[in-house]
Amino acid sequence: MESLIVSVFVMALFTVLYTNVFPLIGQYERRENYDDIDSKYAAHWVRKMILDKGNSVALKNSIAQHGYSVLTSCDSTFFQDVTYCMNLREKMNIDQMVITSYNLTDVKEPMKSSGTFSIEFQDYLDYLPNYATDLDKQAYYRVIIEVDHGSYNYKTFGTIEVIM
Amino acid sequence: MKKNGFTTIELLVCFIVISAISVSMFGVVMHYKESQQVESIRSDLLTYKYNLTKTIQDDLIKIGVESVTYNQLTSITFTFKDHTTKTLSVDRDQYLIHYGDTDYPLPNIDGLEIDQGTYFLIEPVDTTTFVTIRIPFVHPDLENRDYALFIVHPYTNTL
Repeated sequence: MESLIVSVFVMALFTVLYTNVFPLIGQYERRENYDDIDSKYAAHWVRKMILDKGNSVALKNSIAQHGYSVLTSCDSTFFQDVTYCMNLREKMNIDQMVITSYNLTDVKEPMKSSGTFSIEFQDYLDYLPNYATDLDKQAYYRVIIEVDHGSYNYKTFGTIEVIM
Repeated sequence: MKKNGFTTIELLVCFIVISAISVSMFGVVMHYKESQQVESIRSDLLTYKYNLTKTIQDDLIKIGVESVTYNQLTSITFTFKDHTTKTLSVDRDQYLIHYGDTDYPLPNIDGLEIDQGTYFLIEPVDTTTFVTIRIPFVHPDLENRDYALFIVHPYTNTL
């Protein structure tokens, strides 16, 4: 009887340890793809392109309507210099670029259910905080990018705020 | 006479159980030991890459680029808007990257080296020139991830 109780206790202990530690390893491996230095600088250049060559009125209207706007196709509605945008995207291996409102509370779910973004991108959205507490940042927006690492078969993600 | 203590069978079972646990744990411990070694290499290389990237990007973004020239396939010279110049060069044989007046030797890790390739690319597109720097590092234990020093810098042609 004593052996049975000890066995059950030890098994339960190992199960609890395993179920708590194993997801942490997965999360760590996933998060090394988030906000690395290359993605951060790529996001910086997308922000600079939006500020220097973007149509801020069209962008603001689009974000006001949908909460976010996908910039990946370098639509001429949003950019004066489409060639520059396409080249920047290609040379920095940017797979996806999006501008959202600063506060992501009401944006994450519509983005995830739109079918436009990869599973990895949706995981990154879940990882990001909602940025809901900075109520004074009304003129702030957020750029989120996905960078493809080609034959290495993984993607990295970065975000940076934009003041328009 | 009352006999206290363990029987031979109990001791034997106990010994077998402890042996089985030790053997099964040995593989796990060795796996984590190897992982820790790889993680240490990865961490040193990433620190090196981040420091160098930040140093170069700070100059490119904060001062601004006036013009860029290739000297050879292994070096590139930036002329900044404050009229200073800095050269970035790669010396594979010495395991170092040189930028400005400073040498940046690779972390002292067995098997780590700078890969061969074209490190610099300058592509004018309309009024913008795209400078691409890509210096790949190789190590036998780091094959499934891209650890290259990678910088893309677009600047407006003023000449």
